[in-house]
Amino acid sequence: MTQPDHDVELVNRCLKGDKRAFGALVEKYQKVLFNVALKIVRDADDAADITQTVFVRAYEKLDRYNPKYKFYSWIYRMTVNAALNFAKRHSRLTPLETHTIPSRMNPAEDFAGAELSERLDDAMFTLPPEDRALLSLKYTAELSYRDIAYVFEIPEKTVKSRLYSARQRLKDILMAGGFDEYERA
Amino acid sequence: MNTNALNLIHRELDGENSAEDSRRLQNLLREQPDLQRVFDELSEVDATLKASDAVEPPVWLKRSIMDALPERGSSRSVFAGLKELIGTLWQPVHARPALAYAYTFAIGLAVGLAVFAIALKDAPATEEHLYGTLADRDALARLEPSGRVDIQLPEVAGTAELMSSRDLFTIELLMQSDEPVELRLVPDPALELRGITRTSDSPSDMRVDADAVQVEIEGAQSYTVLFDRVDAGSAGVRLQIYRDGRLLHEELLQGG
Repeated sequence: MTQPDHDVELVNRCLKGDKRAFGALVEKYQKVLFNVALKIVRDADDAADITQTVFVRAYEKLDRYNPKYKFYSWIYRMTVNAALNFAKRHSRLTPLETHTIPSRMNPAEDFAGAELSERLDDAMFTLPPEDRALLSLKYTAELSYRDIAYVFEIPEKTVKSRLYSARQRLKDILMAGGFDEYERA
Repeated sequence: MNTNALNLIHRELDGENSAEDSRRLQNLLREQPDLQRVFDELSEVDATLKASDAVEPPVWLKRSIMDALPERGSSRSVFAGLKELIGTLWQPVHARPALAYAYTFAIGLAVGLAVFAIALKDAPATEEHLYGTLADRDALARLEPSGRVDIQLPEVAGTAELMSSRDLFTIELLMQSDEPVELRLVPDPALELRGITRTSDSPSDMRVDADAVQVEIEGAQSYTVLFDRVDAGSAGVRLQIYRDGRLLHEELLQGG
């Protein structure tokens, strides 16, 4: 999905003072970073704030970026950290304690993609923020296990086992709410 | 359920099984209907996650990011330039040694002023940031949630989330109104306005005067207002909502 070499070239141009090069990086990554943050904090305004903060921070610290690593892994790490910190700070205001999603009243109702997506989001938000971050990197950012391991600073093996259990938990929550019937309706 | 079998399922979903592992899994699925059911359910969840559409970020986001970028000063080239300048200025001293004291003083003064100017220029980039832009990150990191007020009026609805620390008090307003209404925030004397930032992009009017902050709300708007706590003890801000000059609602937003 990305061309790391091109990213490094853009970073080098930024370091030489070419702001437009940073604009190209923003253009390239803003959507996926916004969506990763959104999956963690849920609120679009908060996700936009986090995305902005991360890009500004990345710009400030660009001279510390090590081109040995992929630019996107570096910026995803900042996004996940910022979004997780935000989620922790706000957890007292929006407790995520519900572990079941209400069943649909009428599973035979017409299938609607938007509703299904909303339902998936509801289920996601019953998971701990770290699991949401993991799933968003896997499915929204489509990162490899290796890149996810770099973002979380944990071994690849741990990423897999945590992802397996997050996926399992999501399945259990959705099935408890009648997801399978809904899906087949 | 057998953990190895579950791992095989997850690995299959991620396309990580070898041909032999895939065959082994297929055999297990044939033999164990329960395992087949789990496989089907996980496949559905996986497919739904993959098919989940990404949301478009707000149209203003890129512009907002680019506007928020600090100026990137190239300190190395500034100092290299200074060194070159000093070298050039020092050349006449070789011809007239009597000028050495005057040159040393003048160059010292110039270098001092240049360093001061660079430090001043760079200061906002490192200090000013409210989630961002209004306070340093350490101060913001010390903020703790201290309350939330829901506002539900026929004319306007939304929330005010309060955060406070020993030094700061912030109010995050997320409001929605079909018709224009005016919000007035009047801090008590224990607070001093640090600044206000609008995080939504709809055009709206913000005014700050000696004793209050006023913002106009139409459509969906979000603001964060930041106050310095100048006195110890509890701090409060009176929220007043007006429409066409008529007071609709008044409430005290009390920080910890």
